[in-house]
Amino acid sequence: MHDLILKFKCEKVIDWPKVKIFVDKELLRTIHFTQESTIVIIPFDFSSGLHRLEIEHFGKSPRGTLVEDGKVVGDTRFTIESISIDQVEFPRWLMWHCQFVANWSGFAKPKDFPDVIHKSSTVGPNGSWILDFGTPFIEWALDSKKIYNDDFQQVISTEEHHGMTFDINYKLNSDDRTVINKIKQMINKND
Amino acid sequence: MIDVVIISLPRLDLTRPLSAPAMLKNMIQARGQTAKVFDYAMEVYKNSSRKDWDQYELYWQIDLKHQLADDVWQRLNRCFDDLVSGVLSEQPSMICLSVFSHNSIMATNLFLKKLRPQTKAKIVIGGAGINSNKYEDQYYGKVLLDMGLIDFYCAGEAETTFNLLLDGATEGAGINNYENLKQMTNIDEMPVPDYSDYNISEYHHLAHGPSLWINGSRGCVRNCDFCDVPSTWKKFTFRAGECLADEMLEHYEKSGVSNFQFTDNLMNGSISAFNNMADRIVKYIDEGRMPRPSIGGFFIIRPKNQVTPKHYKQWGRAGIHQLITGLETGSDSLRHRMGKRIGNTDILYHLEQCKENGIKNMFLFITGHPTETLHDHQQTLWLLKEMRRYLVSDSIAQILALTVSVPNNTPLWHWCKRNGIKFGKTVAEGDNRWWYNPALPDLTLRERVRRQLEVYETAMDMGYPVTSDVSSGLRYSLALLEEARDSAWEYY
Repeated sequence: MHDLILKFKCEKVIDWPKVKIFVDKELLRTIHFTQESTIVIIPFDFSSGLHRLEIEHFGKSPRGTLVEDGKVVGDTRFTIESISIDQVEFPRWLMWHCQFVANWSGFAKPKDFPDVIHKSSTVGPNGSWILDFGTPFIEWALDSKKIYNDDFQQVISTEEHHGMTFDINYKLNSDDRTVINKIKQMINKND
Repeated sequence: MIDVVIISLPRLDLTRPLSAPAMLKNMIQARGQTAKVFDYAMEVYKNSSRKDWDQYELYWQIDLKHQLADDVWQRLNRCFDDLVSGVLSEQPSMICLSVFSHNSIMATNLFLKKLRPQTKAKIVIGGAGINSNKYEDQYYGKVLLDMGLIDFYCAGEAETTFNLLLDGATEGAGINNYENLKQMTNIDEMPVPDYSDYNISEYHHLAHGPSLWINGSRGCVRNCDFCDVPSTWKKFTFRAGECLADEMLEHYEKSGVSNFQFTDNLMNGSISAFNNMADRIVKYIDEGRMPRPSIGGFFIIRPKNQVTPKHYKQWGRAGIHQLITGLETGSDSLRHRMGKRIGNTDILYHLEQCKENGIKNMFLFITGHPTETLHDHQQTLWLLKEMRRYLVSDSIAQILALTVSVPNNTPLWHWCKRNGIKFGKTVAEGDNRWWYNPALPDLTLRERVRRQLEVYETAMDMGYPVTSDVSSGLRYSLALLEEARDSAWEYY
């Protein structure tokens, strides 16, 4: 059994937000927030592999948004401040893989509002906020980080000079592997 | 025409410009003389191919006795001929060489042999490297004086002995002797480095941008058995935290650089000065006088009852960003035998606080301590697994693993002498990695390198980031093994 822990920060106009929390389409919890900060702990038996966390914001009416002179001055909304599994927190760069798809039933869709919003953990309209993750979590997060760092380092390796890089995470090259093999041969040789 | 030129030579870390020559420049200028700094470690780097530079890096390491191929040797000589010409074109009356460590000796020899016949300028050397006895079994400064390659060597702190020399003295404590050296008691009086001769942007820096060295203390508050710092600096002296914050502000205002790396053996030796520095920096940030800096340096983890989450929070706000910390091992009992007073519980508490406050760590490990059992080594592998969760939050940014050396006059060296540890014939020359403990017969040089490799391979498999030091470190270990094998060392 694992603990999925979510920290929410909420704002209300007339009423607090209501959410349903799903993992792999299974409804785990329905919450009607009653205060600004809430920590939700959900014990869950994750099988190894990829999963989808979905937080559905529902039940907000058009009266949940206060507009004055064309500007939003109050909104029923929530922010997912952090998510952790077994006390290991999703780093920000992993959270950025989230997406939000709004549900405009009963509302007039604002002009220019995108169909999908990325890299935002604040949810105002009704709709589904989605984040994919894998378990075992640490292994998956580190594998994701490797991919992220490889992409990132293509950008930061501008310090290259004469082919020498001073990377944050040095990658062994074929010369290094030759050295390692030679060391191993010497270690294993009984002379 | 320049009064004094100050030169630094390989082997140096080129991450950022060296602070000592910049400090000397300020000291000389304050006396109304002109001074210019030449970083020839950077010049050699810029004027070498990757392959040549790799070869030079091995050649500088005095204990390896690495031979350069003829063509590489010729290219190195041509490069040094140009460097000497560069200095002489300034027509200085005094030429000062900063000998950073014993691994600067080979470059210093080569440079001086070319320079001395061509100039009548006074040649002065200083720096930690002149205290080395790893060259011809004598103090290096004295060797050079006897060879006639220099006029003076300055032992001890430049603020005391070098100032005497600039006053015209030709003798006194630390001038051509190693006697009666005095340690500065108030290091708040140290001159602020003047980096104006450096092209700061050409240094390698780190991903977060240009940075400068800063010095906050001398000596150490610990007495780890493998470390020779307490024998060099008898007393731990430190600058006021507010003074350090003021220096950072000054550098920011002059050069726009807001990242700093401490040269100290440990940046938090005085916890009160460290906290005061953090408070003053936060004040400057809040006043809008400087952006949040990125500060790094060597650090000691303290027992968890000595530092509160509030301290860590303030450090994070002040930009304490990357700490370099010697964990050495995952075995509490071995760490205690080394003289380190922390346990794995303290390490995990530290990491938790770092995670909360965005502080990154580079952890250093030592493999094959003369009393390290296989169980101790396995505890290191266990600790790597235990700390793995902090890789996700980037609280562990890098690790480095070295095989243990036994430098002369360290507590470990004395322990080895008392406990019948056998040393190889190169004992006087290098980092003293040729030793053998009859009480742990399996702990051969090969076994120690095997453990180093196992730590690296385990860590990399788990996703720990490593620096390019893994490459140079393993090359060094291979060279060490080959030399031991080729010379038929008994305990190879």
